[in-house]
Amino acid sequence: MTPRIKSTKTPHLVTMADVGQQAGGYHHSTVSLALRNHPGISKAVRGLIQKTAKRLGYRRDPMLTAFNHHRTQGQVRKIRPVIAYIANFSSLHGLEASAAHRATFKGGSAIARMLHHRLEFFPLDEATMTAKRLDAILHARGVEGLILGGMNTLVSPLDFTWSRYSTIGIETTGLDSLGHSVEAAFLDGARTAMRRITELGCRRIGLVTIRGKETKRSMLIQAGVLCEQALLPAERRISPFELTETTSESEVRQWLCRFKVDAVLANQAAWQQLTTLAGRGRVQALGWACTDLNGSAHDVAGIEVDYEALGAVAVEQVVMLMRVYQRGLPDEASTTFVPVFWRDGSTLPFRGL
Amino acid sequence: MNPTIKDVARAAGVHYATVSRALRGLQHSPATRERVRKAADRLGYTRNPTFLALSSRHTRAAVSLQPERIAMISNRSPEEGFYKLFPHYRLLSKGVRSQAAVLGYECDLLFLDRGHHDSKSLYRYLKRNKIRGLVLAALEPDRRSLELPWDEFCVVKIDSQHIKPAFTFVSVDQFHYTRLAFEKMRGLGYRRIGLVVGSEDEKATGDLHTAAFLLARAGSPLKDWVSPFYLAPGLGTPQARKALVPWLQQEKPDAVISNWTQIWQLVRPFTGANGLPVATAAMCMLTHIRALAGIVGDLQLVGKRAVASLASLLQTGQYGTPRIKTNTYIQGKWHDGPSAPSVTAGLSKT
Repeated sequence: MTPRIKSTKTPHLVTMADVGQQAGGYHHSTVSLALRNHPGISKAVRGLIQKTAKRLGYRRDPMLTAFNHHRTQGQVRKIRPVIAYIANFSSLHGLEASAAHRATFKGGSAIARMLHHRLEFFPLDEATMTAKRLDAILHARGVEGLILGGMNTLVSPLDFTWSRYSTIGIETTGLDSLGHSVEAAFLDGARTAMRRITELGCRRIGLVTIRGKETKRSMLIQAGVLCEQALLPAERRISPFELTETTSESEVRQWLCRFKVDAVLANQAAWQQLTTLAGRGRVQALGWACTDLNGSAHDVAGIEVDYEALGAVAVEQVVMLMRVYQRGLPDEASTTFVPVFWRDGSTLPFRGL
Repeated sequence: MNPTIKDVARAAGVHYATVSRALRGLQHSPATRERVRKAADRLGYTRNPTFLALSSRHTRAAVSLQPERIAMISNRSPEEGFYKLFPHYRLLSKGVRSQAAVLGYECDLLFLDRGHHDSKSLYRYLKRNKIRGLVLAALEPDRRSLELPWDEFCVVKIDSQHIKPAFTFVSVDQFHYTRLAFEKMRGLGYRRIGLVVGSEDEKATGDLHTAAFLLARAGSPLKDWVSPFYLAPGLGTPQARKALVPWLQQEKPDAVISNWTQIWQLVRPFTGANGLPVATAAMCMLTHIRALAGIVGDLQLVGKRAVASLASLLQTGQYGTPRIKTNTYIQGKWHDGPSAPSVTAGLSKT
């Protein structure tokens, strides 16, 4: 028989046996299986045990976890695995001021905990921190997993020793990312939006973008719009309108008139510029589907991103890469898409057919 | 701080593995054993009782410990050409198996086909062998289908989009392939670039080739636009040629990008708007075919990624439909080749 281990835990720590007892007399092995969501335990019991564990504040023994890791990986982790969430804000406060980042970080942290890692924010504010210095800090901290979140305004390319890290970028800026990335599925999102806007009674849908702000997201949206337009008769294929700093009022009006646009697909910045130029009266007759709903007023119709899911998937992927020891920039990068959702709103009323 | 095995090693002037062996009485040389013991006593090193108990249990149980098993499922059996006719299966399964080995899983290769399993017998087999993780490896829509109580399994699909529940999905990146091929052809000096793909492939991928093609085309002048051409399913080479000729004559492409390798022989006799033979790039090569320019996708990598994702699902206990349904696409590599020679600046102006 296996030697019985005398518990070294202090009495106030909750054990699996406690959870089993409190849940109504389950064996600790049932608890263990239920906490790992094993299908051998009925759904009802799994739920009950998981709830009880949460209520009692049961936590896995970190030493056992470390040991199991050692056993399965053949390598001892000397430093508690931290995954770095790198974004160009000067402080956590700055990060949390952005609804998208707050949600991404929250979703990532939750899943990191589940996977026995910890997500920590590392600021990369160009005024106070160079990439080189951050690289040294990460190395000294023994960080092996990186999530590059929201590097949108970053000017210089990141000068990291990539071979040290497993890296995932979230919504990468460049059209072709060098590394693995997690993106919101805006190709599907834009296609769904085009169909839904049509269902709501609009016939002539135009895409409005701002020049110089091309991201992978805007590229996917454009591809989705083109794909749906290809299915329409030629006269309903409306060329996208690109706003620049010098776009004049008459250019906007011309585009709206020429194509008889009745609905616009645009992000908030583009919509704002468009409405300022076109004038209120004209805009009132125009439907708007927003392509970046997060943080906007609740009655706007458009595409909504589940940023928590985006963060969660990014962390899952980093842990997966770390587990198979995939470090450095990959030969063949991958892109993982996370679903986006359509939301109806008052900016796209049903007009009747 | 408590002294560690490494402190003892330093004090005794040996490697820490020697310390471990010496303290467990496994070191051959009595002199070293003694030296290590003394150093450990002096420093007050004691072994961690939890780790000791766990590791002794581990080594004792190791003999009877069964590694967790996962299964790769294909609905084309070896009799129907799994190994011989369709090299992509071989590459996928190679990737799946190697990643499984790295992660400590045993991997079964199971066939859902005549003379092999049907859904029922497959289910019994999976249950009997306690297999909880499945990789659905490019199941073909027109062959034997798979029905399982999905909630009892962690599942990753490679292609197989027709299997309805939403599972974690891994595939090659047709969107990136198409954009890359288009850009490379533009870079080589071709202006009117056309797309030829199977209509079934577009259905299966959710129009990824088309979406990427239209996007790439939108970045070139209107006079260079060529309409995409969709090949009907099940056409032999002669019928495909017949279908393609009117399109070639009407659209006059300088170059064609396609997910069909034979397209090269088919369009070569024709002349593009640039007065040169129509160039081609293949977007679906498994290994680089010398005569062709195009993109090679690493299917082993796809298999590997599928297993790595499956391991994540197993570890986090995500049975059935996962919390968040993700699609992962893996990029490929461009290779130059004689089917798309570089056009000199002078010629491309004609």
